[in-house]
Amino acid sequence: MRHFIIFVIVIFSGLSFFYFNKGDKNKLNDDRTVRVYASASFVAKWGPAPQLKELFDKQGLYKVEFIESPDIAMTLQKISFEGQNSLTDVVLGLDQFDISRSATKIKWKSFSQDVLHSIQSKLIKENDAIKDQSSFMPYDWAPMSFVIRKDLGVSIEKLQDLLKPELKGKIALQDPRTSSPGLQFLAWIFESKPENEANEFLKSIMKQAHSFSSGWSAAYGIFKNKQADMVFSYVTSPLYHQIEENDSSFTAIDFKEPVPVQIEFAGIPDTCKNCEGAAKFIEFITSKEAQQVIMKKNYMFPVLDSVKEATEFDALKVYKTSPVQFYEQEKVEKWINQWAEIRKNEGL
Amino acid sequence: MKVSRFSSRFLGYALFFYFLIPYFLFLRFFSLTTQLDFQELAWAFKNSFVQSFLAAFLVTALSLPLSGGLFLLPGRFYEIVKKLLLLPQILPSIFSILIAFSIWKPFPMGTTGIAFIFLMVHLGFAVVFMHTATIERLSSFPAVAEIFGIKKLLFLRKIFFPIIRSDLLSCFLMVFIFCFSSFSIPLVAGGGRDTNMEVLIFEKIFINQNWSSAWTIGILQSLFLSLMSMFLLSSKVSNKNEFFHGEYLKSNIGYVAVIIYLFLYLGGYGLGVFQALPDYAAVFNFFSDIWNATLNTIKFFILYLLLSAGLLYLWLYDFVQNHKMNFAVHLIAASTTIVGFAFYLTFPTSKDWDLFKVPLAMSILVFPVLFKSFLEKPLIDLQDQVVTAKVFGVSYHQIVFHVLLRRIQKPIGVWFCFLSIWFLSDFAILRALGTQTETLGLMAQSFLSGYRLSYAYLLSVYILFVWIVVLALGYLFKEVIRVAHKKFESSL
Repeated sequence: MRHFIIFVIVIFSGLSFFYFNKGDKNKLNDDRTVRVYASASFVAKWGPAPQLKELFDKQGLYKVEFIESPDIAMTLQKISFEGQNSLTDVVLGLDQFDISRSATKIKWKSFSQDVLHSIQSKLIKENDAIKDQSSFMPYDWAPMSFVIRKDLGVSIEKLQDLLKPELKGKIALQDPRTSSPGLQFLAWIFESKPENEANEFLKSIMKQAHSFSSGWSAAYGIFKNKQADMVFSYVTSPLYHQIEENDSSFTAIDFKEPVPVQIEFAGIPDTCKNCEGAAKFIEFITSKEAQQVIMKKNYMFPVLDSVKEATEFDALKVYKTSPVQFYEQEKVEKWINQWAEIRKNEGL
Repeated sequence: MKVSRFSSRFLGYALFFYFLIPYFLFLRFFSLTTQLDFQELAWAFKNSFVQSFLAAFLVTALSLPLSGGLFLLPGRFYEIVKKLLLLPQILPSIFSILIAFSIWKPFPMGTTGIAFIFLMVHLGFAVVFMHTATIERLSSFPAVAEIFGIKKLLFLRKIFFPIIRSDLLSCFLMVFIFCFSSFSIPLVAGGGRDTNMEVLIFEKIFINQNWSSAWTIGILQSLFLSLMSMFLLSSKVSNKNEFFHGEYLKSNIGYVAVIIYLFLYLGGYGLGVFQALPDYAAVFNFFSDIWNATLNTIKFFILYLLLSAGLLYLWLYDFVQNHKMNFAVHLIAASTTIVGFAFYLTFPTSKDWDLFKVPLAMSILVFPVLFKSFLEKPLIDLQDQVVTAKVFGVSYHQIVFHVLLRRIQKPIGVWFCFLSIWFLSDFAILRALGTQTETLGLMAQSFLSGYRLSYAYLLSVYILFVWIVVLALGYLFKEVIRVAHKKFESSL
């Protein structure tokens, strides 16, 4: 008994110590710190965050603190629960699916559409869905397609070609229930084919799939280890190998059908503490210097068209892309249920 | 009288409550729901059950002959092989998946594929588990059987299997539980049967944003596994006489099978490392980050170790006091997502708070399962000695230190061995907690999620190196304490 009390005292004194040191909540605001949630790969040393921090802090107005998010769904839930107590000023890494999902949970701050329209970006100009909203700022994007080794030896021009017998069990895909690229592929199928054809295609693609990984990294690892011949990824992926590994043997397939686009958005929750700083940060990530960093470190296209000029990114072929949409939750759930039903009836 | 009974049980209740903290925290935010799709739940449960049952059956069946192969290994070599056998269970699952895919081409997706990867991952652990159990249980039976001329088959049928039966069941259940709560392996290799309980939990969160359903499924899963543990994983008193393995337990086939298993797994892993070697210089660019991550990992590990030591002491004290194992020993399969998210929601996300969150969550998730695996049985074996010491009026504190801890030094060594490597290589729990401090496991995971598979391979080798250093330091610390204690006693 006595020992347990001592143990409890030790635990709770530790807790109290941290609790009373939590005063940094106010200190943060005094410091004019902007707290930004971003993914692990964004915050990592090789990601854009360290350089962005340096550039933003150098402006002398605010300081940015990047907080690693375990998973975007969890972070959005945390913000929703914390409500007014939330210390989050900016959330990075929201995609077209997250935006619809979070709509009922979190209220987002609107920013002047002038800011959005002032960005010289083909992506924004050509997509009404982005143009017509004022809560989410796109900061990078990339069309998605299948990445292959150039010596694959199978001609693939349209989605239907993925069903060629030579590709049976050779395609590394992501599970749409757990991965955003997986959802993109599913949306691509349903958006580019009538429903019954899409279902038939899904049935056939199950046999072509090497595996459905829980995330992009596992699928890419399988492809990189030569256990699959192609992987659903970003058209910018081959650039990573070209620049970092000096390996030009990869390419992304240019399909006849328009390919889906993955866009990463930044948003300011309505409960932000340093809203002014958050707005400045949003403005900053669409600046030329920040866009350069994001492009080079994230291996994604910048939203500012001029940034990629005279870089390796400019040399990439232009892919015909589907119009950007913010998918409704019910629609996504319906697709996933259809996918799951087909998958359930397949294999052992 | 009533008061004193309550007082003696308070520690037990409090300890049990400690391991339920994440569930109470979760209740603050979500309520349980009955609005579940029971057809979907039944499908997921069936898949989890079939995959885990098949994998556990295969692993257990193979573990026995393979553990016999370990008796043919000379002492020092045996220690190395034992550690190598534990490797598959601690490396990130993507490595095991890639190794399995490279061994079996074309890979059989579906239940067979899942069972094969689970077999690759858990066989080493099961072999070590069964080998340790054989040593603990059989004492001189094999040698005596040989002297009396009992035939090998008769010995196995009449002596060996009846004695080892409960350990076989324990091994089966441990592997079953590990597989049941697995996430990434069924997804990658599952084919149509990939929806298991963990995948369903994740789907409820990721797609439906339905946390109440996720939380209810998580509770049902933990409850099922705890009940299995409670009813089927009961430890019995084992024979504590000195062990003589004789010839009957040695297995040449097992020896060859161990070599093949290690060759396949380590060969696959070694090939990955070998292919990653050209990136050695690139990884070296991250030297300062790796060093900082090492220091952070060690810092967390020390805190976690202190907390685990405190919990162990209290657990033993409770065992002495109430003469039975705390019920929390059955809480061996808490969902990582549930525990991680409960802490993520409750506590602020900052490096300062990581110092508190990480040891706490790791202890809740890992302590019961490690205790169950390595310490429960040896402690139950000492029950009679505890009773005797109590009759002689020895204080509980002294019984813990002078009877229990002294007698279970070896199992504590194995416990420490697992505790350290699980902690050093973990990324799943730390990621779910929203940890802001870079650790070695998290760094390897970040490499994986940024095209850098080869860096992750090289970092995993470094993690193994750190583990060996930690084990050496642990051993040194134990020796220093032992010598100091001896000197102190002789000076008295």
